[in-house]
Amino acid sequence: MTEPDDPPRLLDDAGEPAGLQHLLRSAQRDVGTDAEVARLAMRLGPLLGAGEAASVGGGAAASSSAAKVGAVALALLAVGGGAVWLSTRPSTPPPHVSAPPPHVSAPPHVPVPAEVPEPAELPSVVVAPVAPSAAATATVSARLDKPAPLSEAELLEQARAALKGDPSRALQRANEHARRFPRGVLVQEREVLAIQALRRLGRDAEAERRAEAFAKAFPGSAFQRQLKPNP
Amino acid sequence: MRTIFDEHARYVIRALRQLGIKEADVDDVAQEVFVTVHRKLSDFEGRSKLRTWLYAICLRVASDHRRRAYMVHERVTDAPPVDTGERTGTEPDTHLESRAFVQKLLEDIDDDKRAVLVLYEIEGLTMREVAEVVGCPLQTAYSRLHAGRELLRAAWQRSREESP
Repeated sequence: MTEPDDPPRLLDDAGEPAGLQHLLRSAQRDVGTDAEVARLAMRLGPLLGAGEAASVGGGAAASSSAAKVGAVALALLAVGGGAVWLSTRPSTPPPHVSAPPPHVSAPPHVPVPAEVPEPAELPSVVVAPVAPSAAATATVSARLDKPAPLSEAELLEQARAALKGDPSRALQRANEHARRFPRGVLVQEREVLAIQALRRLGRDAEAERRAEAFAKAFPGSAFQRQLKPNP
Repeated sequence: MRTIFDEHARYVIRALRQLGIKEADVDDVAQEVFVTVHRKLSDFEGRSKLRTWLYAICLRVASDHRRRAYMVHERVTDAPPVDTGERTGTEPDTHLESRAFVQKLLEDIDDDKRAVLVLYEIEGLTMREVAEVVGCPLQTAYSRLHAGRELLRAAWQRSREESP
């Protein structure tokens, strides 16, 4: 759309070189592909709504899914006011997960306290109870033998889901995120979950130390309000 | 959130490319954009259009990304490699070649002018929306558009002179 005072766009101006207009037209058509959108949806995972496949076809499916979004996506960490701008860089998981170091740096540095060893847990895998072919059985077995590593968002969604009923598990998931994604894009969300889990476990001193570290690392964060202890 | 993603993701990806994000980084930066959207969604008051709000986030995240990349002297490998010098005419043959060529024309235009140029000429915003997204007075946006166009035409002319 063009407003009356807007100058003619280069694409509409007959005086501009045809080749340049062709390029601009090409740039307009160069939107993200279905594959790129699907890949991005995978990365964002629960932020977009749990269990929903990427709707790369457009908006029709989007409106039907909208109602499901609030409960899960925004519940991951609904925030109050304030501006948050990311200053972190996404990371890829390291090749292996080692024992938690006493401090894990995050951008900016957020110290993660050493944790007592926690039981190793693997994500539950649901296999549909249908008679599988031999090849399918082999494929499923291979998947069960070596589960795909959880994404940042999936780990934190597990932490969020466990927060009320099993805060120990929530803390374990948050700390696993800290180990695997020390420079992840969801560092703030992870720290908030960890602090909330510590409070639910009655580990108030640790929670406050971690909250103070968070406040120093992310002074303008919209999560600050959420982290204030209950009166 | 899902609705916003479904309706705008492919345009966010386009905008990030035109704003100078390298191919190897587009996924990462687009992810940052939507994580920021998620964090700030409750603050969105509807005073601006959702579309301009999203573009403002794209601009900020892209700018932060470029600054970080510069500070760490990040070496980024573009994919796919395209030799625009192989063109024989004024119109590139393929989609990817066109993309690389547009980005080459835009790469020497400074960020402020480039943002206005991209938002108006490619993303199709009105100038009032452009000014709102970049956070400058309308007249400043007009000036940047004028200057950006001059630079774009000059780059186009140079590319023609350099082609065999």
